[in-house]
Amino acid sequence: MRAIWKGTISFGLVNIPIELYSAIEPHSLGFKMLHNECYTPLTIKRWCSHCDKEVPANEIVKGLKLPDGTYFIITQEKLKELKPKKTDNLDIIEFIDAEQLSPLYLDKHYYILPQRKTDKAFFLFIAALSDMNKIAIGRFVMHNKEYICAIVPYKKGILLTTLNYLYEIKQLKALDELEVPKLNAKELKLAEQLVDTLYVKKFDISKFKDDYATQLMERVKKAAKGIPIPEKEVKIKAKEEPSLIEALRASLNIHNNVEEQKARK
Amino acid sequence: MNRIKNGTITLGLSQIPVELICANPPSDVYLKIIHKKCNMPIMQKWCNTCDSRIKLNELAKIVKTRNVSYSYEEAIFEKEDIGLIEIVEFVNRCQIEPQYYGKHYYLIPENVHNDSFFLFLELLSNLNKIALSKINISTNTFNCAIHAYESGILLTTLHVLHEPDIFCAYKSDQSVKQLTISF
Repeated sequence: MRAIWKGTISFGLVNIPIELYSAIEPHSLGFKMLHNECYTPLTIKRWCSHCDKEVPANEIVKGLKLPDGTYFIITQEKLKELKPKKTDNLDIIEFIDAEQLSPLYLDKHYYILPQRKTDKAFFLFIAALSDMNKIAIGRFVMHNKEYICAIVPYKKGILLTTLNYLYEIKQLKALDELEVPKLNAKELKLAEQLVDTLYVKKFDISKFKDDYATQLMERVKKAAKGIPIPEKEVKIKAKEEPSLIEALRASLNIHNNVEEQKARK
Repeated sequence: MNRIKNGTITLGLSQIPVELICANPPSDVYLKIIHKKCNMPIMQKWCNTCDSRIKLNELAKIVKTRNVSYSYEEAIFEKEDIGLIEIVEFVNRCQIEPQYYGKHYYLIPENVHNDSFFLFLELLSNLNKIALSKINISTNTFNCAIHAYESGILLTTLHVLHEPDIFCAYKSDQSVKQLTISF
């Protein structure tokens, strides 16, 4: 596996040479776009619809779309000036408590490994983060873009997650305008009991499969064997909505019955 | 408002109608490549065999496996999406490691006078738990985590398990554990 970035974690006078690997693998069952007459995979051509011709590289510029539909042209020289300076440093800005970071800020995930397998500073950094249950917040430049990131220990290495900037997060007015009604204590109690019945102590991601990809593969295998595929899936219709307290009670009863039956067996 | 869809959270037999809204939509400010002479955007899908531009209605999709490709109408795979978000279990907040988190969406009540939405929100924040479920968005099904966020609910899709075993080659120095550093 190839590292996508190499650099140095630096905080204070400590420098730790590291490598960055992507933690997420793209979907292995992606569709490809083809021409429906000859089934040739399509290529993307830089074609100008206005001049109706293919555009060579030297005739291409970059532009920002303005509200009136026209484009503001930015020259390569100007772009170069604006791009962040390339640096191999991942600077640690601050440390925060683990619970301080909302999942909403998390974007892409990467694994960090030491460049030298026995680099004591790397393992010292991990040990300090896990002992104190802290997250390091850092800043680095990758592929001409500046990122803010959260660094947490993961297994024997480190997990780096880039963070969304505040301007990238939608500020939803409807969230602030919600008015919380007075809640019924009985309903809350019943709902809490229902949560207890569905509560698992340890989260196991391997239980959660990609149903769509599995279903797709099954169909491909069936079709390869010549087994006809049913045209429509079985439809599940949502039942009529019972009152909240009735629904909570009924849910608990169902769960208790299942548990009793299990106990009898 | 980038509303993706309407749906219903189901917890046992109780149902909570909600709206799904993208929490970090693509930025309005991005650079496009354009033709220097006429300032028009450029990009076309091209078939090299027919040597022609391809319109949307001339597209087909295939599933590519290691040895062979099969072509199907995409509609065959589409399930009827009735917008159910069925809660399958609850876990403690600290149980989900950050690398499983994917895209973020806000959930707001379809009807602001619906008590069940606020009861569910109260439940998640009081017990400090995350609800796990599945959701259909466009043609894909995602596993998702549902958590309390400020006065609303945040739904985050979860990546399915993929862990390259790159950490196995590295052995941490146990003696390091004995040391402490304060920041």
